[in-house]
Amino acid sequence: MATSTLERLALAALVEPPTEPGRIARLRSWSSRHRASLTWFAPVFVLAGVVQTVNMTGIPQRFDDEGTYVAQAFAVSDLGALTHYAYFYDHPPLGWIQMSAWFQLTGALSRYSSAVMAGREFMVMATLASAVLLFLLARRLRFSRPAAAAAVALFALSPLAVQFHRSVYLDNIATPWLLAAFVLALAPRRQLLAYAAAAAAFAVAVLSKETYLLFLPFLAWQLWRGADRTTRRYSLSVAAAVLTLVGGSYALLATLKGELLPGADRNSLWDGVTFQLVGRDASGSLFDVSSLSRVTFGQWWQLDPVFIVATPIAALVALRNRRLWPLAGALLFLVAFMLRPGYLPVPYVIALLPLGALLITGAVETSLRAARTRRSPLRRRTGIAVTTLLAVATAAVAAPIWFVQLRGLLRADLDRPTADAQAWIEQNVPTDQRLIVDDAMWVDLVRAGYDPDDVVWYYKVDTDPAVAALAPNGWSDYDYVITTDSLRTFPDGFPIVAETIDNATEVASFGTGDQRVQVLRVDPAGAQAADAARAAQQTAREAAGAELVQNTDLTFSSAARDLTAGGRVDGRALTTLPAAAGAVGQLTVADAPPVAGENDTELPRRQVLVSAVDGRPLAGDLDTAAQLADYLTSQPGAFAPASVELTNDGLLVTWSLVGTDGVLPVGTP
Amino acid sequence: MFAGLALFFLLAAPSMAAAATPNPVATTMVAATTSVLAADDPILPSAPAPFRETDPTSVQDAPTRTETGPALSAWQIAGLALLGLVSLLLTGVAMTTVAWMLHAWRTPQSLVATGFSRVRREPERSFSLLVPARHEEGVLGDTLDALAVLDHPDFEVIAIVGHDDPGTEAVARAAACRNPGRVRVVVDDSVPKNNPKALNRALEHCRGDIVGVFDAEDEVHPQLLQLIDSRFVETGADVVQGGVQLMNIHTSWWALRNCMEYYFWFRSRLHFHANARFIPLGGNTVFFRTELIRGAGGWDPECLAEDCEIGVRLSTDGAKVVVSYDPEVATREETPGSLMSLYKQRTRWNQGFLQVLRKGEWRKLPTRRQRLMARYLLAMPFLQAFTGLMIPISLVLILTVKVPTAAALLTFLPIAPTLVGLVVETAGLGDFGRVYGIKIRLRDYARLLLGTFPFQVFLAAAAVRSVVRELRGDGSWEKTEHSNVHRTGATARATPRALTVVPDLSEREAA
Repeated sequence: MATSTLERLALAALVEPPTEPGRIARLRSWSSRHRASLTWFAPVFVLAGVVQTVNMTGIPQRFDDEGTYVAQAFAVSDLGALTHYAYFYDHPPLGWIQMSAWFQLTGALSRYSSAVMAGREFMVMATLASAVLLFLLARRLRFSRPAAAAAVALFALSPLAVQFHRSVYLDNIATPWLLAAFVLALAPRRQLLAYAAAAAAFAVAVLSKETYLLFLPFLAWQLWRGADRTTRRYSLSVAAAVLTLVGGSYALLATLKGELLPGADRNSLWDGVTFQLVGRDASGSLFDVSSLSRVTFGQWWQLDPVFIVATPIAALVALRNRRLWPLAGALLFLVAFMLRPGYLPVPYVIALLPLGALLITGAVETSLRAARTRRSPLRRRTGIAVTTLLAVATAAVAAPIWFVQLRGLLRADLDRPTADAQAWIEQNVPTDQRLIVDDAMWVDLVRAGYDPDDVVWYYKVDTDPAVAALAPNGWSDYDYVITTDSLRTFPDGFPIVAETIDNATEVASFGTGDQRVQVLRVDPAGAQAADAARAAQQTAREAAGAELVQNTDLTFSSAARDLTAGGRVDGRALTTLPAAAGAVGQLTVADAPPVAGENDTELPRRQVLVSAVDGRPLAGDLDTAAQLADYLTSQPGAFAPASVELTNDGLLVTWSLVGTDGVLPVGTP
Repeated sequence: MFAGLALFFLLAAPSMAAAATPNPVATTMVAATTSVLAADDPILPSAPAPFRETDPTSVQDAPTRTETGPALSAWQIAGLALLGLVSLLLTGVAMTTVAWMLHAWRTPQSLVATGFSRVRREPERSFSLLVPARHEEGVLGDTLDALAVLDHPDFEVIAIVGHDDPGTEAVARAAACRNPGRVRVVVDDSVPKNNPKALNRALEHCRGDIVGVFDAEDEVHPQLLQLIDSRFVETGADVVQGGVQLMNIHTSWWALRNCMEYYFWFRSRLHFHANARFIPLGGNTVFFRTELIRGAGGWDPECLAEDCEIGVRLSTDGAKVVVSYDPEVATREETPGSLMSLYKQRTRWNQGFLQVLRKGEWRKLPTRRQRLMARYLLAMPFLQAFTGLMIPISLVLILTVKVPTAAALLTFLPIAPTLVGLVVETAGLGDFGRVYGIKIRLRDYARLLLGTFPFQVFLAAAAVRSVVRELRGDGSWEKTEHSNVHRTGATARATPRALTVVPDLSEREAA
């Protein structure tokens, strides 16, 4: 974790050479002028950083969209393109271009075992930037320091916020720019330059995530009411021009690429925009229990129902404070927009988080201030008491929910299945294989050495003609499918992906339920033929196994004997062990342990633990162990194990996942 | 900001050639021995699973994976680098132009600071107002009569006429007779004649503490001298530059553009130069402490932009220059009568700037920053002309020549500040109409926008001509004629307003 800005500033002051007393003096005077603000803000900021960062690799489990944005950032830096597949103007690219810049400037990708986690690191940066800007915004809206700090705390610590701020969403990248736009729009000296900068920041927000365009009327309102009568004409014109120009650069990009308008064989900005506005399947009404919108909303609700209920109420209360009108208006508008029956994106809630945090604290403070100005002492006291009581009651309801959720967010490792699957694939699936994957793994597999053309996002298998062209024979041109919840539950399904899954066998599986990640191996001859072949191999292994347990050169533990005789041990082990015994001495086979995650019913065990030679434990006899290992690894072709490892229990011999076919004579079934 | 955006796009460029670099991950073939951990906390929310932010089910029907373009040759790279450099240069020039245009409005406080002070004080100084006139029989009489009745207790008006211009001299003498004790006539017998020589001749005869300069066709506000007087006293200034405004926006498309140039120059940009302590002064409604200008040896008789030159020279000597603008009391003028005479006038100014640049007085400026500013400012007419021409050229280049997307985007960069400038001019035209009470019609806006490019070509032509003339050593004075358009019709100042101005100002102060 990088140090916070404040810490860095403090560090900079310490390491600054003494020849520059000016800078230190300036820093000192700055921090003494802002001591009160820092005292309130710094602890909340540090806490925000801690909560966001601790266990950010554990929860949520990485998912498809995260992988897509990270892959696009990776494409910008490493593939010289805006996206890892043809860019089709689904979102403006500036969000992942910023992420890519972070990756390149800080080398984030090499800091994590998974690219998505590097993306999450960038989310931490974005959220911390948002925290600073939110504090500034609150102060510019005349919040007291404690109220401003409370807003930041809500923004950074609500479980809803933590979960969504951690996820690699473009919305998280847009948020600091949006907040910056409002901070600049409220510049106390009303500089024209601040207005221009507000417009530019807002344009960047929209180019990072297009849904932020919904804020435009409210930012414009804020700019209008904040501007001085004498300079308004100029400051607003310039702001409008800057916004249009920066925003227009997107259209310019499309024009330069020759992709502004639709045409044969090309994606276009026009198609992208119409798709987002009218083409997407509606998520149904929020009032319909079975709708997708309701599912989405349910995910939010589960994380922090108090925040969700309090926010719109707070927005209404906050209307008593004229300064909060544009922001309260924005929130109410966004909530109303959410209730329309159209498409509701899951991360939509991210834009509501800073607003909700501001308005909840703003409403409390506004009510307290209003109560304090009452003339009659009775009404004054009642007002203060009622407000305090409501605030405390809300906090009391929220506290247990927050506690439970935050504990989970800080401790659970939901990503373990994906991480294990990833590691398993990289170890066991050769890099010349073609894989259909969830985008969450795309960058990692490409970085692990698979050809980008051979790591195919499941989404593109059926929809992208160029991808289809790489697999003229359909499903049989793929070797593996890695399924996640996202792929398994995709509503419309993809015919080729579905066929591939139908003709594949699970070889490994990690996690359970929604978190499960499965690795399926495609059976090139089709499912039926594969079933038959497997049955034949099972028979052959049983025959060979039954023979082997009779071999006097080999001693079996009872477990190992059962596995061997039952045909559960790989043919390469059955063939190699008696030969090794002949060369080295009598072998004691202690076990044939499964490889973690592997399908134990469909695949034979490809690991064997040899505990002793001629009755002497191998763990204490390095020479014999080395002799045995040498013998094994010098076997020809598929018979040589992939690894031989000396453990406390003996020599663990592992054959590769592939290569078991054809080592045993198979009779015609 | 826009530059930042483009840079973001550019970040993609360096790696265009790089293929996907596989990251060799050490693959020791040891099976994973860790057991799969079950989620240890059942109360947890599950990962928000089916998030389909990127899910077109039908939209995609086009090729995948953007192809990386063919490798570029060294020449092409050099060409692109040059293109980028020119682009950034143009962007810089266009951005400074816009920034200077907007200087007065950068905060509400700064706008207030550009005006005259709102405190009324008793006049303390005496003034000598110089009016050089050459073949100005038509307008000079009115101007002198108007100047003679300005609201100030202690001033004189000196009309300067050439010894070879009896018509103008007669008009001047008649005005002197009508306004005895106020208007005097000085005859300039220098050969060849030019403006600075005429001013220097009159400088010898000045009796006032302050010397002011006006043109023969100027329409001066009656309260102006009082306000200038206060300004000198309040600020301790050595030089005060008042506002000058061309009024005849309806005459022609170029007149409109010319008026807007003046508007932004006096309303906004000159204040920037005054703050930067390096200022090319305007040719009229400019006031000097008599002692100071005499000490400086008067105006440079050989310079074609003597007003600019004296400003630079006095700035260099550390004189304090204050600019004050209030639309109500700005001196009203008209544009030259024809595009040709505007062309000559502009050539003369540009050549004057070049002369000032060559003369090198600015090298004596105390700080490096000021010297840099001087060099930049004096070269500005040429840079601006160049920018105006390069933008359409680069546009054509981009749309016809195939260049990488990032380079193409960079080439569009200078257009951004230029367009911002256009928007500002449009806003300025509306503002101009409001403060001067002139109705701005839709076609005026259309003229403003459509005139942008032709006017740039015009300015570029004048810039080129001035360079050619200067290189040839042709320093002759081409005079600008005036036709008194601003005194007829709608743009004439309503006379009663003269009386209301001071209460007006105090009202605003109260507000």
